[in-house]
Amino acid sequence: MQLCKRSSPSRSPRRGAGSSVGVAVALLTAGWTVGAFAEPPESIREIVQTCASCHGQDGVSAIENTPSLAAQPDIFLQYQLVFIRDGQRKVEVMQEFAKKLTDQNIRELGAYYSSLPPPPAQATIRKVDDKAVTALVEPRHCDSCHKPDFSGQGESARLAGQRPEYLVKALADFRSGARRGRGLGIMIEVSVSLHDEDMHMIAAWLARKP
Amino acid sequence: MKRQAALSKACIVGAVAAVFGFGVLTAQAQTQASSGELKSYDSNSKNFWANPPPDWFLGDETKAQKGQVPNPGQPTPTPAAELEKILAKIQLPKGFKIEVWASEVPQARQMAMGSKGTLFVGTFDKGTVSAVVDGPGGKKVAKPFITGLRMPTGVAFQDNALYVIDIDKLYKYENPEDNLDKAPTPKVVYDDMPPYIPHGWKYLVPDGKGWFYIPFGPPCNICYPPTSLSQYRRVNPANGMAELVAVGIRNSVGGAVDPRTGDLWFTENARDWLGDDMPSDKLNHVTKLGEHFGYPYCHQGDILDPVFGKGHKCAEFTPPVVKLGPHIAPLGMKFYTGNMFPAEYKNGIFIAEHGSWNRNKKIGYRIQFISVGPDGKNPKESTFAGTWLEDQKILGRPSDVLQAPDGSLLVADDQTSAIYRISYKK
Repeated sequence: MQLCKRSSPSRSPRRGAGSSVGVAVALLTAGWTVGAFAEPPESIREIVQTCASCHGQDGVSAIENTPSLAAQPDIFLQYQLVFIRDGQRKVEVMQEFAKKLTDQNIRELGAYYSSLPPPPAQATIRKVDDKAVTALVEPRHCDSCHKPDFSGQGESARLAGQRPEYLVKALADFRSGARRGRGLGIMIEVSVSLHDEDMHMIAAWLARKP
Repeated sequence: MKRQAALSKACIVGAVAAVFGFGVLTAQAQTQASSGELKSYDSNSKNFWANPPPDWFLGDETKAQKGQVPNPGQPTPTPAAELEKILAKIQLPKGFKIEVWASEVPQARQMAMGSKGTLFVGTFDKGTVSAVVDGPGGKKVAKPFITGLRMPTGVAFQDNALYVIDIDKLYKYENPEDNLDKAPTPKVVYDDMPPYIPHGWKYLVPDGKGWFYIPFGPPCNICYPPTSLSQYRRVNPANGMAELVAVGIRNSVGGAVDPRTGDLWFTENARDWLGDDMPSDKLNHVTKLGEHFGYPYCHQGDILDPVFGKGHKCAEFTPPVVKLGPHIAPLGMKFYTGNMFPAEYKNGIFIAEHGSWNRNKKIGYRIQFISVGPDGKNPKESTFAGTWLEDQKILGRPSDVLQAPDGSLLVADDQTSAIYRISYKK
């Protein structure tokens, strides 16, 4: 019974002992990348330079409300570019840029960004109550599509290590209907009953995952 | 409030199961545990119609089948050179040939041929309807003819008009082939339909007398459906009148009228999460108004649902003519009336199988042929074209079939965004 009760972390007296260690590790690695990364193919090199100005040289974003692209699933990245190009997904700063992309560009961008090493676990100010988040995430079967380690697959995004404020924005956009995802409407179903506080908790929990 | 109550009830059942350590649960018991008691939805609220019910999609997921998700498809059309390689792997009966008829037809779903030879093609969530016309050098070229719709999967052409069904609106575009540069402003000819996404995408079946048979899927995997759903209606586009034709139907996205009798036949996608091999998808035949095909009580004509089946017998419902196989996802279907194919194909049924997702090993991904009497007797099923599977890699997903004026068979593929042509030569 306790498992299923919705409780906010501020009201929860205890915290997992492991989480402070997690924060320390995250703080050490946040914002840094390890090692060199693959060069994009010649045909999209200029395009990737444009992407990098917001999404980071290595696909790891340092800009608020701008997602990291590194290690996102190939198909997911392609869908988002197609949606933005077609105007099905509204992202104002991307609109003009995306309009110029060919199908071939989109396939190459998907392949390139999905091949980059994933972003490191993010540091979050917010404390995370694992139990409370699990009670939100489990009944929604998030891991069925996004995989148990939240590395994403197919059309479903990598969530592990994503910027937390961006994850909140994404969930809120699904909840409000501003963003639809693909045809099945699964993300509407998942997000419609989430409160703001739930979204912040889930986002912090996911962002801290390596 | 109702939703929250349902959720916590499911949690309680889950928690009790955990406490008592039911380590080994059958798929059926799991389904019961996750769905609790009979599921019904409060459809009085606007919220219900605006958003999917909270458990419509993954609410019935079982441990045995966890992690199975719908195929993601391909975001961009498969390049022509790659299509040739794919088609080289497709097996056909002797004398038949498959070729690319048109590439770059986004998310190709239902097809309809105009009287002047334009092929109109619906899409799933791209929200467009393509017009495929002759381009330079005789090459077929697809142009976005209609844009900005939600899920215009179903299209039909009759009396010099294109009809498009987009979840809750049936649109009529007059004289489309003389206005291919800019689609004429459509007229909404029928809109008494729920506006939600889950199983809200549809198929149009001309009845041959000016009306359309239209399927209405339930907004869930398995539930006692809200009013006005899980049924086929017959709609008159001339005046917006509609009648109920058949009930007890899960998700149908394909049907056709038998040229021999005028009867409606339709394909039906059965429920998920009852295991890899259960239940079978169906080919159904409507022989009298108001027939009940079993959903949500009885599946494949002979197994009761572990939750909804209580107190029922499968004998209460109309069984399928053919059990097509578990999770194979039969979509578009047509009777063959052409003269190009050998005589044994005459009046038989071609069915596009979109292919499975809710099972461990993929099956389907092919075109099936069914020869069957007009009364539904002596059905014989064979694989006509396929499979669009290489080991477990998906090469394509047939979504509809259409007989071209010359008697060849066009096949829509919404994964590769292509139309293929299957022809016969002795």
